[in-house]
Amino acid sequence: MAKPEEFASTLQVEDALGIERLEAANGMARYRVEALTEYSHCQTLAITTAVDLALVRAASTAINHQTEEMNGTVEYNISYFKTPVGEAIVTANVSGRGANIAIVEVSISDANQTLFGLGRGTYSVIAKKNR
Amino acid sequence: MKNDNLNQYPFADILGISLESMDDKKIVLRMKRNSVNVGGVRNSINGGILATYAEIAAHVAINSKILTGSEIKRTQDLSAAYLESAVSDFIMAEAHIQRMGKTATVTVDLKDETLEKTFCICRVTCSVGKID
Repeated sequence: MAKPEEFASTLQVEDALGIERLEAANGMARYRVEALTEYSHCQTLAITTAVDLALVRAASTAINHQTEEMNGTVEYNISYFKTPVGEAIVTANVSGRGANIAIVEVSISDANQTLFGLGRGTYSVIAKKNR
Repeated sequence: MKNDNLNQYPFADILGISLESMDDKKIVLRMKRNSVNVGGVRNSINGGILATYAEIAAHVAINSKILTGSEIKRTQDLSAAYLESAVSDFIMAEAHIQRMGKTATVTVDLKDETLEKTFCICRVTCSVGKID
């Protein structure tokens, strides 16, 4: 079981890839990802990371921190079905909770507010042991 | 190993990714644990970074087989299953091309430096087309 001090910060990841946290509350998290206009076929690289960051952050707002702990992403998938224009907004929503998992749905839109990607992830949650 | 194919990817340097080996059957990349790519549970490599690493590995594998005059248009689908926290000093990416055509599919296994322990299994599908 991971202790709180064992969770490394993701701020350096975000800075390096041009990802910005916008908001997170009540099972929802939203991130902005800078456009990579120089590299057309690489546009999704930072978004792929942002999808995981958003689903983890959304899951973190949907657990009881008194009795539960975050335990890592189990799996996730993304489909990109259009080429994005400009920056991307990644929005994650917890759509289901079980005793040990949270299901998170992710949508990704571009600067024109065109939806170009959809994803879904499963996040592992464990009960806190008495210390 | 220097590789122009890998060098075109904007985050390869900052994430500590280099080419380990390349043959007809597979491409192997190496990612060194650093202050940027750590950020996961149990002080492991961040899960999102692992997925991006797999995406880069898939692109490099496709580019190594792509026909002259064609290019990767974009990543279409990516899935990642995380089996264990990636806590080793180096994370290796073994990329195998499963299909080449207008749609190219690559499976990528992310492993420790001994290639014995698998941290993450990914599948990446990209659309391929003529260079505009």
